[in-house]
Amino acid sequence: MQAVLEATDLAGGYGPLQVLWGAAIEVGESETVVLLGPNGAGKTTLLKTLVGLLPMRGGEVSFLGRRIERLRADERIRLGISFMTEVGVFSNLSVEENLFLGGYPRSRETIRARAEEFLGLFPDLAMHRRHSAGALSGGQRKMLGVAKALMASPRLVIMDEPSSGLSPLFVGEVVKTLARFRTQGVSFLIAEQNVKFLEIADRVYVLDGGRITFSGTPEQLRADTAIHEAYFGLGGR
Amino acid sequence: MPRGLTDVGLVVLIPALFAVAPFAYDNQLLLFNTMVFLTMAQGINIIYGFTGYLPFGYVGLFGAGAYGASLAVLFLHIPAPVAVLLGGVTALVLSLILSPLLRLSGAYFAIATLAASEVVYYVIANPALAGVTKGPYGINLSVAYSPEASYLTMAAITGFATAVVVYLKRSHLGLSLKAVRDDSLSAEMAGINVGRQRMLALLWSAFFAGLTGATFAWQISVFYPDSVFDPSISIFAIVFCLFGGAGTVLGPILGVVILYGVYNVIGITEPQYFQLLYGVLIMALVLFLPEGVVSLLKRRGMHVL
Repeated sequence: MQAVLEATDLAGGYGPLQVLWGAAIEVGESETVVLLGPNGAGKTTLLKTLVGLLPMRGGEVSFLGRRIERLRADERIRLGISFMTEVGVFSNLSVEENLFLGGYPRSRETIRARAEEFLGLFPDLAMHRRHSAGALSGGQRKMLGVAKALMASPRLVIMDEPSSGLSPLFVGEVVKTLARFRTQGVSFLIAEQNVKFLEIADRVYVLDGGRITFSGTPEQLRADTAIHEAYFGLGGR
Repeated sequence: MPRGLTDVGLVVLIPALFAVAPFAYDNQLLLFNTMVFLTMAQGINIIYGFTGYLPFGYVGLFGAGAYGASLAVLFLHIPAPVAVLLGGVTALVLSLILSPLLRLSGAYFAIATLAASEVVYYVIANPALAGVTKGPYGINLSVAYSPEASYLTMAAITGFATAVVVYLKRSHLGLSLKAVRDDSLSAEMAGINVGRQRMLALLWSAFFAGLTGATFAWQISVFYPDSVFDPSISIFAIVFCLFGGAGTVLGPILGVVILYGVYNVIGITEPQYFQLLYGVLIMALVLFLPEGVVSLLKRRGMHVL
């Protein structure tokens, strides 16, 4: 399997504070990888370093076989990476405008057509297409974030805590939506605390203290009682 | 009405109205100044309405345009319409020099542009440079004096500025600028080159200030550094734009028509009441209509261009 994203020996952080200590991560073709870890483990730092929002102190990042660590963040995005931040949407812009911006790197016609396609898939969003995203409910906003992240037909979607601020019911909705797109040749890298996302994971990494402490399938993670107890005792089965 | 028609209508109607207005109303200087403020308010709109950067020293670009064009006429003997274009280019060059200021945020950008405009003013007004800039003695452009031609040029520039704002409002570029204004980090994550887009907005905004300053100089033909670097020009343009509603095409137009109208009705005859009224209007705006007069229309469900 060809790696879509491959990062080795990542070191990074904020100013004098080093957060990542040699983390390595790989996402394969059409693979869904979940990055689990408690608060402060460095999940967001890792994702931001991968897409170029934070400077790298060391290591290598390749996307589809091409080294990208010297590219600016917006250039990396245009190669076919989509990044959904915790907020995920432009709250002062309309639903439609958010979708258009999601497809920004593509041509105008492609964007219009794809926006219509997504509005068809999400009737809730279609109803509010001209309303500002800030007026949507938390669940609808996340759906918009997901649709926006998929607008540019990316090869890889990176998501930072898609469950944040959502009730358990909506977390289930988001997981269901993602499951729908998993089969369409898109790879996902999802940083989460919520183990519900393990349902759609092909592989799991556990990040703790800026280091990868576990790498394997969800089944292996469940079998690894020590890790399971330590981090997911409450959220697990 | 199809939106293409509304757009073209607006862009053509404004300069056309001004072109024929002098036949019906004889205060041509007032009409001219209205166009000056329409263009300046749209210039502020391009940078503030679409990127959130408020240049308090906007008049510096206006003055740079006035001087760039005037000196080109006096020293290079260039025909005035070409000199107007050079005035626009002068402002572009100045804004390129100032572009590192875009790294500053909010209030710091506003203050830094104000300081920059003062620097340009003091350089030009410096008596030691009188050989080049005529210093405090001012400029006399009587060789190129032509109130009609400069008036019509201003009408064309006003139409051009309106067209650019309509384009921004409709285009992918405008949408990307709005994304940058809303959340620059997320905009970057949409694949937008944030720095370049801000730069583009600054350049367009500067270009219009320069063209307007140049045409203003051509129209009045005798002026001093004080008259083209007057900070109240920045303030008027900003207040008109915000009063009407930044980020829309119609907002700055409404702002100029209403506030500049009020200014001319009572501002000149009874300046003391005018100051009071202006103060009250601006306070009411900040308190009740922070998004400008157009938000009244939006609340009624109207789609405002």
